[in-house]
Amino acid sequence: MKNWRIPAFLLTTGILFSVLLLIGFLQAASAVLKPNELNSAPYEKEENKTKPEEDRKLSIVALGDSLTRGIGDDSGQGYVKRLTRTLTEEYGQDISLANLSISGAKTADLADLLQTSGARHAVSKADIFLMTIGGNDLFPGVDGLTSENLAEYAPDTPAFEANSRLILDRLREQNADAPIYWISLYNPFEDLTILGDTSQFVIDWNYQQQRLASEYENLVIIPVFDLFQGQAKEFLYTDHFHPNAKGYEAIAERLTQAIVSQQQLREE
Amino acid sequence: MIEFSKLTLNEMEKLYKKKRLAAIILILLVLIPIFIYAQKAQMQQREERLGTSDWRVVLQQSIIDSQNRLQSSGIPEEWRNQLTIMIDQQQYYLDHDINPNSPGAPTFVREFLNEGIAMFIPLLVMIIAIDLVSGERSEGTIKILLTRPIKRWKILLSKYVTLLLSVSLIILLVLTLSYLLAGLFFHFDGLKIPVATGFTIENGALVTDSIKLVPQWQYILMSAGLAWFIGVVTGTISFMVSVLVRNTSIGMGIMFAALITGAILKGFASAWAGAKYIFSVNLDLTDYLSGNLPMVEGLTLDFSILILAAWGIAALFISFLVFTRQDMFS
Amino acid sequence: MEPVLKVEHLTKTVKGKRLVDDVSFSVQPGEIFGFLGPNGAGKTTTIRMLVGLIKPSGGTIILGGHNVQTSFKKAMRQVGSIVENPELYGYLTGWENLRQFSRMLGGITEERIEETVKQVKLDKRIHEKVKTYSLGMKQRLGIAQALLGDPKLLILDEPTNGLDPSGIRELRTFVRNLVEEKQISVFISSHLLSEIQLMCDRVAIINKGHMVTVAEVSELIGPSSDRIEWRATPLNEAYALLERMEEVHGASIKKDRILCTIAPSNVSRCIRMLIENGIEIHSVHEKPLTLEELFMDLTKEEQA
Repeated sequence: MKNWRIPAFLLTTGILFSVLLLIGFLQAASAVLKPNELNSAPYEKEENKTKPEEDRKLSIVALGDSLTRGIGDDSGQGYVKRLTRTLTEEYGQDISLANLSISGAKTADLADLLQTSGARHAVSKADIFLMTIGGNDLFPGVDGLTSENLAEYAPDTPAFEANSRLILDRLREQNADAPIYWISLYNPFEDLTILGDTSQFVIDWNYQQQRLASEYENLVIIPVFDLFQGQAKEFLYTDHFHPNAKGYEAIAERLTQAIVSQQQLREE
Repeated sequence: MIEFSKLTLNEMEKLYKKKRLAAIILILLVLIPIFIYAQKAQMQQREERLGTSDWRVVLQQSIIDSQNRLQSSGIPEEWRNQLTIMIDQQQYYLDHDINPNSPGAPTFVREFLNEGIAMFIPLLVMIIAIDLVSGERSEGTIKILLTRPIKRWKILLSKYVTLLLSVSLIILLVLTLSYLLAGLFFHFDGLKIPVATGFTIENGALVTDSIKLVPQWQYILMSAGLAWFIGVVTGTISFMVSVLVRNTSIGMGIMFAALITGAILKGFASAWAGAKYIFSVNLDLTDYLSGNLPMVEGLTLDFSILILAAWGIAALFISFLVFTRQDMFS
Repeated sequence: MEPVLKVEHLTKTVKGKRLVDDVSFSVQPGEIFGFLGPNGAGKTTTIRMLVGLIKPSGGTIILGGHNVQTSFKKAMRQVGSIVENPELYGYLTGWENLRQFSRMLGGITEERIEETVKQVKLDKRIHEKVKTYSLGMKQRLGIAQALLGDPKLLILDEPTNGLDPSGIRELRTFVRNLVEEKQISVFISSHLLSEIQLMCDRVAIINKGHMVTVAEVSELIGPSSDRIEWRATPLNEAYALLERMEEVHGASIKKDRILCTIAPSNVSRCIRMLIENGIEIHSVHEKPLTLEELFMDLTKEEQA
């Protein structure tokens, strides 16, 4: 009759393990209450392993502001998802996508982001960059826009130029050759005659951008000014600033054409 | 002492023969694979969405998504603070090249403890604690137990010590079963990878100076220690209920209600500060460890431990007071 | 000789209600003591106080020279008990149950457990789970549990409840043998007079929490088969005749019957005498004294 052995074993195991758990509890308390006094055991960083099949994927990194985020698209896709879907479905591309855009970002914000370790890592792995930036620099505080303050308004082009250089330099620092597709601006206020001639600002701005771009290799400017010209009703979202689903579709189409011809992709 | 160890052996034998531990193992064997599957599905979904398993990209994307959420108007202030702190933490992980969600059995064990500490582990402990005394009363065996030449407080103490040891055994079972099962699904590596703890917040911002990196096994040990403490406190309260309430299912109901009330009230605690004095509001101790800090003013680890200890001691005191004086009429 | 159990002025009050009121009696070594009373008279409450399950509101209980209140441990060593049903751990085997209790007593060897098992004739199924046992077997295991510590006093609360007649007979012989062989005292509670009559030397009668009387069983009740009930016509004449006979005691008329006590050897003589006197006899049969009748008699005496 030795069947009391299991309870006795449970008893001793329970006692021994209680001691260990009590140590764990005290360590936890010290880790939270007095982190500097916690004795940490040695640790080993793990090797970064990615699955080998991922190297064959086309890595797209999207950067910028609300346009890259897809604000205004009821389906939530934006031009980025529309593009990747076409590339996947029609051209058979395996794609990995990091969309690092932040609504409301200005050139300075993007330049800062590119200094963070996570973004640098993503950038270094990229095969293609997609970017919309500058809209928030050109039209800061869209909601307060009136004809009066627009009359006195002078866009800060030097800052834009300097920040844009920072952005492009930082991209190239991590990644020397992946093509950058930079979508330029359209004028959302074209039909608002009350504001006066807003188009001139946009045209000047895009000109600056074009000039800057010529200094960098493998940088493609995707103009969309003409796409939205006279199409405010058709292509703009109800906020009269962001594109709607149709507007994004139009951007995506133009972008697809550029990428397909540049990358020499073949339809399946 | 010999007499007392024999009493405890008796209690452990009864517990074992009542198949309580077997029931707990069975529950774990069913639930852990479900959790593993859920986590695997979540990982796959994230991978599919981004098309990459590169954790740095995944983490960066998560930071960006949180930042975008911060941009949108109309999110509550507390949530905004929490998002900011979460972004800071993730940024810390990226800056120090540490994968906080490295897939593998140890990470799963850590997550499982973190998720289970407030509800799952107290419930498992309750399976044992709730009828430790009331079971003897409803079975009528209390009459034989209390007519031995042994003082009542010793009988009750042997039951309580058995409960404490059972909590340890439950934690041991949770650790080993979740490690083994998760290891079969993922892999067993990752005990030594660094995990950050020691997060402190000052003026709503994360203080990175105090952050400490510890190997994952040490972090798991600390979480297990906290889970054990939670098990002991909720177990002690169930134990009191078992002394006070003869009907085991009513006792269960009381404990369930208390635990669920705590989970619900946690959401209200930012508005009603008094809620933080309820024991079941203070059960998420691992959150302090992971830096997922509660939004409630004054809810800190030392406060939570103090409140829980006070509840536990009061429950134990009441248990002994009532049990040693109670007339056993039926 | 010092009594094994001495109860003095035992009282229990719950919420102003006196469940047990000033009960005193003592049990001598080697005697079988009956504790008789109807259901709800306070028997179980008294027994629960004897074994420490309920704290008395007043009075003392001395078990083998030790006060239950002040030296619980020593007092409990003197006694083995089954309170109400023999409830044991159904999920343990009989052996495991006894091992549990032996650990709580201390100094009980495996040999002692085996000996006790043999004593209650459970050796065949002692390693089976108790939940598979019949009530009789549970009863025997309960007795084994009570005897394990070699007590001076065995307390049995309504031990025949639920047992079939043969089981009751078996229990009766078992208790008798126990007393003869081991010289221990037995305290048996019951609400059945016949049971006490058959088993006990002395009896205490309790009703509504009060002690009614303590007496020798033979003195109080007499052999049960001596009570005879008659149906005869004319009734009054028969009664007058019977009352006059030497052999007949305590004759009385109850409705259309006559009750009296006659030694069995004298019954035929009485019948003949009645017939000779022209009395028509419809029936004659044994009518054991019931508890209610005894109470009535006792309280009648009290009032008188």
